[in-house]
Amino acid sequence: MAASAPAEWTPKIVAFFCNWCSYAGADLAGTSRLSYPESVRIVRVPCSGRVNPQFILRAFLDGADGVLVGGCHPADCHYSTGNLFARRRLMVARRFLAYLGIDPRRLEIRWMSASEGQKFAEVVREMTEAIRALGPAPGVRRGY
Amino acid sequence: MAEVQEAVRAAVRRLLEEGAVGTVLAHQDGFDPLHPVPLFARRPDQADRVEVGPFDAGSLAKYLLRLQGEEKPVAVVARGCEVRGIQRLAADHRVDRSRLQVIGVPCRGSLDARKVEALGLGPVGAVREEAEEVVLHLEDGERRLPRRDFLLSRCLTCDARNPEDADQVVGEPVDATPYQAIDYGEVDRLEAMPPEERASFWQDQFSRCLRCYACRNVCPACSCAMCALESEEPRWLSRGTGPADQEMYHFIRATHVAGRCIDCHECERVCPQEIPLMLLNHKLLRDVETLFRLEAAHHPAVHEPLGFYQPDDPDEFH
Repeated sequence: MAASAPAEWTPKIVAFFCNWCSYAGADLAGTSRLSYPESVRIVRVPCSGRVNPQFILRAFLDGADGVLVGGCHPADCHYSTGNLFARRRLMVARRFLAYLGIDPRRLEIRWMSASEGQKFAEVVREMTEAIRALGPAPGVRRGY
Repeated sequence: MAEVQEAVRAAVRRLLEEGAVGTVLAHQDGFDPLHPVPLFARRPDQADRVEVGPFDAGSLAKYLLRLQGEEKPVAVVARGCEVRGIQRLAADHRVDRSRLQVIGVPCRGSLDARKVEALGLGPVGAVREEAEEVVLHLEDGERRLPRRDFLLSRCLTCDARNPEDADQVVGEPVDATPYQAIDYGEVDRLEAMPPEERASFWQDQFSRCLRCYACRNVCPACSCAMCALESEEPRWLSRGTGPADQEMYHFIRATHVAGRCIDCHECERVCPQEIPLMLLNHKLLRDVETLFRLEAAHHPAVHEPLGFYQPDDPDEFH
């Protein structure tokens, strides 16, 4: 595929999805035959509380153009409070990643329940368009 | 300060003579008075080597980890910032406060040896303190330095000049008002940059990093027995010093102490490459304080802001 043709360029988005909500939501989008961009690569995690901010940086350093984190709506966590810890941690991490120079528009954190297949498809669509407008992440695969 | 030093030596001698503690941790002169090194006094006669002076920049807190598990309790001569470090380590269950005697010393700030060395004065023989001046004895006479101009960056904003948690305090309490508030000017400047410019600023800074791990080793908030920076599985970073590894190293170091940093500036002080690590720590400190409506989050008594949550925390993720 011609990577040089900008119109055809599809960003790589790494998604960390909670097993109990957004992962099932993405599954629902599939079984509901909703179409969404193929830009997203989903990594299933047990809870948004499992998402170590280092995962996000690692994804960017390894060449992701965007990172999407999906968790249960507050008060809906399968483990009661995992997403509430995640909320604090990711609020700080998001600002810190931006401070280190990662464009904040490349990182989305969204609450998506298992029934929100539609929302999942929309979020991926919006994010793909936004990142396509930004272009490939600068400084990706910066080498070790 | 000379009287305080004598009183501290007497207190150290007494503890060791009584056998109440096995080891006393304090400062002693290094190769010159500008560069003190730690003293692990185990015999009463070693008490005379204890120095309490204006160049005691290094924090002794982290050395206490080496003394955990000793047969007898341990004592430490500590200023307010070191006491904060000890409180941090105790809160992290790394230091057993019940087996530790703290000899607190009020402090008006330590001098930055780098700032003094920059004057190019040659060998310094002895140091004495006079009110607002520090007097250096040089080969060709004396040199008087106004204390305020040569303070360490942490001492300018210190709000712990009188030790908060000491078993005994030697010396008179000092005026506890900080000289100035934490200066976020440089953090503001960075935040205002476009992302690419900020990325290149940090890549330039991190590219100088030697990965000596001194910033981690000195940090009282950074004491895990199994450290992510050395973990083989998962392997967060290699031992190389390429830009990705450097960024990951500094990201891990800074975020792991987010909300736990005591603002002692030790990481920045020990950095042989003078990387402005406090710009990372201050960014995190200010974000934690503003996002979660906290005051003085650098105080170890403040419940770790990232170790708990409030149901009504602000939510920006919808």
